[in-house]
Order: sequence, then C-alpha cells, then structure tokens
Amino acid sequence: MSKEKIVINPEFWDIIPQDYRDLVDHATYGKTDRGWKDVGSSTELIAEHSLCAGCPESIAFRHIMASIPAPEDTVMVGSTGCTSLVFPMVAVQNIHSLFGNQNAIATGLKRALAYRFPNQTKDVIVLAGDGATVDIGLDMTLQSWFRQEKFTTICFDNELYANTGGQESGLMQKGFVAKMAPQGKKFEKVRLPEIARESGCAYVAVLTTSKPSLVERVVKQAVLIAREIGPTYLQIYTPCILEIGKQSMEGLQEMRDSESAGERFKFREFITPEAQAFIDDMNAKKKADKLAASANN
Amino acid sequence: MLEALEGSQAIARAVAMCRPQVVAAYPITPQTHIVEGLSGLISSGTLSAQYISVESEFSAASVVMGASAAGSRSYTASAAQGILLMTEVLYNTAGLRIPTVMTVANRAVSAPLSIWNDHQDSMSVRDSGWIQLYCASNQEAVDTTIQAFFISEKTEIPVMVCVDGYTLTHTLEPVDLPAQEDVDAFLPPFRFRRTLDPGAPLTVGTLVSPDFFTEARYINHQAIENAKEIIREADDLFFGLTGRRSGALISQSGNPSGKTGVLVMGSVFGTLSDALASHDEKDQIRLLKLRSFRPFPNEELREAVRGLETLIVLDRSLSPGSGGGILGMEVRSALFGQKSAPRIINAVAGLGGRDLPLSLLGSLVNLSKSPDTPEFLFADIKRSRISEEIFPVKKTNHAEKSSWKNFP
Ligand SMILES: Cc1ncc(C[n+]2csc(CCOP(=O)(O)OP(=O)(O)O)c2C)c(N)n1
Ligand code: SF4
Ligand SMILES: [Mg+2]
Repeated sequence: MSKEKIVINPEFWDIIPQDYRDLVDHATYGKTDRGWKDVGSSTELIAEHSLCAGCPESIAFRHIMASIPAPEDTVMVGSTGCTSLVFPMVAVQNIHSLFGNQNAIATGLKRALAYRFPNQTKDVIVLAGDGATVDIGLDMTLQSWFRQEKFTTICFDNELYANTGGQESGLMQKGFVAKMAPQGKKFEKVRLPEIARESGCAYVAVLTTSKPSLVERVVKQAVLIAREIGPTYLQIYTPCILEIGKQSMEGLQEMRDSESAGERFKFREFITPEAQAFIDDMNAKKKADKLAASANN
Repeated sequence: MLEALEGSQAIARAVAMCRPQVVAAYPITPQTHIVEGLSGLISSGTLSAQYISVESEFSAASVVMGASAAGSRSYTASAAQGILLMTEVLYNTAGLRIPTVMTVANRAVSAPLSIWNDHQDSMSVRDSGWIQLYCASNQEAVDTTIQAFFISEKTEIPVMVCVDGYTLTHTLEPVDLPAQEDVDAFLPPFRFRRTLDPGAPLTVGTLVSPDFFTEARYINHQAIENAKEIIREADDLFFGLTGRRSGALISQSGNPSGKTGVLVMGSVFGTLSDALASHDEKDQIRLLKLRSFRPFPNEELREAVRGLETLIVLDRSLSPGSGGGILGMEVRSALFGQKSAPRIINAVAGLGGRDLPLSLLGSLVNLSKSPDTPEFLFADIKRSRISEEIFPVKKTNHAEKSSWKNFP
C-alpha cells in the first residue's frame, strides 16, 4: 500500500496529529528513490525503538529501513533476541516465530508469495542476531542457501547473546571473556561470510553500520539480487555497547575501529559473475534513463 | 548455615556439590543464572568438570546423554522453548534409561511469547518418561537437586527438577547448603552399569521390532512406577542427614481433617501457606503439595483427599481442547470412581507470570461455596481485557478482503 492512497481532506488538516502530517509530508513509502538520506525526515518505517540508548542495532535498523527498495512489498522475518524488541515498532509487515527458525519461515513465506502473486514483486528479508543465524539456526540458515531460496538474510552481528545477558556465540572472537565463557572463548569466530559464499549465496557483504551510504548500497544490492538471482547474505557489526562496556555515544567509534585495515569488519563483499552482470545491467539502464530524462528537459 | 542466596545461585552450588563431571547448557531466561553460576564455579576451579557451551538445547540434551552413556555424572538446565526443542532427546534419554538431572526453570511456552512463569514447558513433556519433581521453595530446590542425582542413578531414569522461573530462580531466600561431606555420603560416585566400553561392546538405541516394542515400553512404565519407592527413600535418607524433607511424593499441611482441599505444585504453595495462617476459615482447609508429578502418586493422592468435600486443583498449565488444565485432568482420573471422592474444581491461574497474590486462597476457597462453580475455570481472568485488539482471528488484512471480492 502506498500513502498516495490515503488522501486527507484539506478541511481536516488542522486537526490531524503532527505525527500524521509529518508522515504525509515526508513518507518515502512507495517511492523508488528512497535511501539513507531519508532517515532524518521519514519516520514511517521506524520512529521509536526500545533498545538501549545508543545501541547500534537501532541505527542499523534505521539505515536498513530507509534503504529497502520496496517496503510496501516486503515481508520481514525476525528472530528472538534484541532485534525482536524493535519489530513491534516497525511498519513493514513482519513476523517473529521462534529463535532460530527464521530462514525456514522465510522459505515458506517467499515460496507462497511467489506462488500467489506470480507477477508481482514480493521481497522477503530475514533480520536476526548472530546467535539466531549462526548457532541455534545454522542448519536452517545453510539449508535455505543450499536450496537457493530467493531472499536476503541480514545478520546483526554483535558477537554475543545480548538479549540473554552476554553469553558466548559462534561469531564471538576467540579469547573474548563472556558470561558462560569466563576464561575466554575457546575457538575462532565462525567464518560465516566465507561459508555463505561456498553455500551458494549470490552476494555476500561484511560491514558495520557506520557508513549509511554503504549500508544503502549493499542492502539494495542484496535485496535486488535475491529477487532475481538467489540467496544473499549481509553480516553487519552492531556492537552490543552494554555488554562490551561502552557508553551510549561510543558505538560509532567502536564500529569505526573494527572496520580499519586488518580488522574483523573491514568491508568486504563477494558477488557471483551472474549477480554482477545483473547489477551492471541495472546500473547501465538507470544511467541511460537519466540521460534520456535530461535530454528531454 | 543459612545464607541469603538467589535461587539460581543456590541451585548452581547444590549441583556443584553433587560433583557432576559434564555440564552442557544453552542460555535461556530464566534459567541462565544457574548455568552461568556453574560455568563460574568450573572456571574458578571450585568444581572440576567439563563445561560445554553448545549451540542449542537440542545439543545440550544430547551432550549430557552422551556423557552419561560414557559413565559420567551429567547435568543441564533449561526452560520453555528450550525444553520443547529438547523434546525428542528427552524421550530418547528416558527410553534408553540413561540417568541425568536437569533443572527446569519453569516458564510459559510461546506463542503468545512470554518469559514469565507457568508450568506449560515441563507439563508439555510429561509423557517423555522423565521423573518430574516440583519445588515449593529455594531450600526444596537445593535439597531436591541433590536427591535427584540419587534417584536418577538408582532408578536409571532421568530426573527433571522443576523450579518456578523468577519466583524461585531470581528470588533471594535464606537457604542452607548441606555440608560437602554429607552430600558425598548421600551420593556415592556415579557408577553406570551400561557404560560404553570397548572391552564389553554394547549397541545402544537399536531398532525394536513390533515383537518386543510393547515389552520394552512395559519395562520402562514399570520402572517409573517403581521409582516412587526410591523417591520416598531419597527424602527419608536426606532427612536423616539434614533434618529436612522436601515432601516425598505428596504432602499436606493445614488442618488434616479440613473439608476443603487445595492442591498445588510449585512455589505457589508458599503463598497459600502464608495466606492460610491468617485465613478466617483456616480450620476448614487442607493444603496439598504435589511434588512428584511423574511418577503420579495415585494411591497417595487418594489417601490425602480422604474426607474432603471439595478439592480445588490449581493448574499452571493448559491442555487446550481437553476441557481443562493438565494437573486437573490427572487428579480427576486418579480419583475417578472412588467412593466418596470430593467434588473437584479445576482452576487455572498464574499463566505467563500473572501474579498469584495472597488473596488467591480466599478466592479459591470461595469457589467451593457455590454449587454453580463450573468444573473448570480460569480463576484470575480479567474479562475487561478481552478486547477486539487481542483477538487474532478478528483481524483481516485489507488486501485479502479486496481479493476475496473476486471469488464468486
Ligand atoms: C529455543 C530457545 N533457546 C534459547 C532462547 C533464549 N534466547 C533468547 S534470545 C537469545 C540470544 C539472542 O542472541 P542473538 O541472536 O545474537 O541476538 P542479540 O540479542 O544478540 O541481538 C537466547 C539464547 C530462546 N528464546 N529459545
Ligand atoms: S543489550 Fe546490547 S544489543 Fe541489546 S539493546 Fe542493549 S546495547 Fe543493544
Ligand atoms: Mg547477538
């Protein structure tokens, strides 16, 4: 549904709540050129959240919500964890089932949507924590990639179980001291991006949420490739400031530190030749359209 | 010596005193503090054991089963979704008669999603073949945990120790931890007769044909029935050691010749006991505390209700479509056809963490006064909260509605 369908009678304008007026003035729902620059003005997809103050998950949520190409035709699948505190406040249709089964739920959803609406675009995006994606749900994550399910999996990697109070996860760094790992984690951070590549993902990216323009680019790319070609995977560092002992304002710096050369979240992406050709083609078309538009002006 | 301990810390220390050799667990609220406590005790060297942080409850249950099969004393803990995710392993462990102990920090099962206390999780696996003991206080949780290893190893049946999430796990109470020598005397080192050993090879878990399946099930059924004796024995022996009992299979308080009975499991017993002390009609009331839900003490229950006119069974879980609560059904079936059996009122209350206040006793007892009280009811429902908003089936997606117009 697009907001153009909701028309407000001008006579009633002065009694319409401010929130609603803002929505009418600034909503990007239904527009094709939406992106991270709308984060400040468009609040229709996520206005408030109940995470810790300054939690980078909340910033990542905003950047992603602003970047998904067609929110009106998107279904998001959540999982249990801190992200599940945000979904009730997100205005994209979403479902939370259990801890770990998100990629299986998404498989059913995506197949059913494709079956019921063969001529329409219906994007499915999974957004889950590292515990959900890599530990308890790993079999379902991998199996959906093996089967080439056409949806995007986004992992909010905060390298621990934030929601249950800071226990060890598969994506935690080796040696990190956590509850239930008081002597430090014993094995290496699981190399899920590499596993994703080997398991059939057409596009994989590792990043932090420090650069909104980058988040926009990879999110759009991931969703569009999943729509046309095959599974895609994004692993985004969203440090749990509470459990690593940082202040509310320190999340951004933590992300910047972790993405410098040689660090674990140094930006990297992988794309199959087929997916690259699709993106090149799309960009070329966009460019041509722009040229044509300016020639007409 | 009494110490002020959070239930979870007390349980972790009680487990450590039992000297488990393998602990495997996965965090889930409200169980997490127990296994965090154990990981701390192991890392500080207080307890010498293997601690395995796994990736799911399915693995946690499987790891401890493997450890016990190899002859080690093993332990895990979980709650709610975790218990249900373990279900397949739980049946398997009991069916293979592999002893182990698990604490269930009782919590509601999703959906609706809740992290708060009721008994739906352990009740949902009541047919798995595990022994289930419910604790009324943190002291009972400590004592029952130690007894559970004894019971499990003697019967070769796994034991669940059920403690109310938050109400017990997160509450500080004065608790007496027995002396280590006493625990060692009570609980000799684990010796498993059927341990996997290349010197005397065994196959465990093979396919059983219809020729023997019934007999194998019969043997397991008999074994858990016979466990009643061992549960009683454990409580007696523990009494000899510490001067404390946890109530064997079922126990009673209040007036033993009171005409109105209230039967409960778990920590609500403490609330009702407190309420009883100042209740106007306390002479009329008999409180029954069911500790062993599996095995279910049919005989002992019949004895305990003798002379009651009304028995109110408080349920903390539901079996939707059955017409009642789970405990209520079990009690009804145990008393069915008994001469002068009391009238049974089955009340569900305290689901998903709803508070069970002191006034609960009065309202339950009042139910017995009206002949119109139904056999089953939700005792603490707030009807004014049943709004259109919380009815999932009253919502229709607008897009769906418009697409239906296309149908003839
Ligand atoms: C079957 C099951 N086991 C355990 C839990 C408890 N649990 C809830 S959230 C969570 C950890 C979530 O970690 P992650 O996926 O990394 O998300 P985060 O909270 O860190 O964002 C756990 C263990 C559960 N809900 N269900
Ligand atoms: S616990 Fe950590 S991940 Fe969860 S909201 Fe707080 S800072 Fe964010
Ligand atoms: Mg996490």
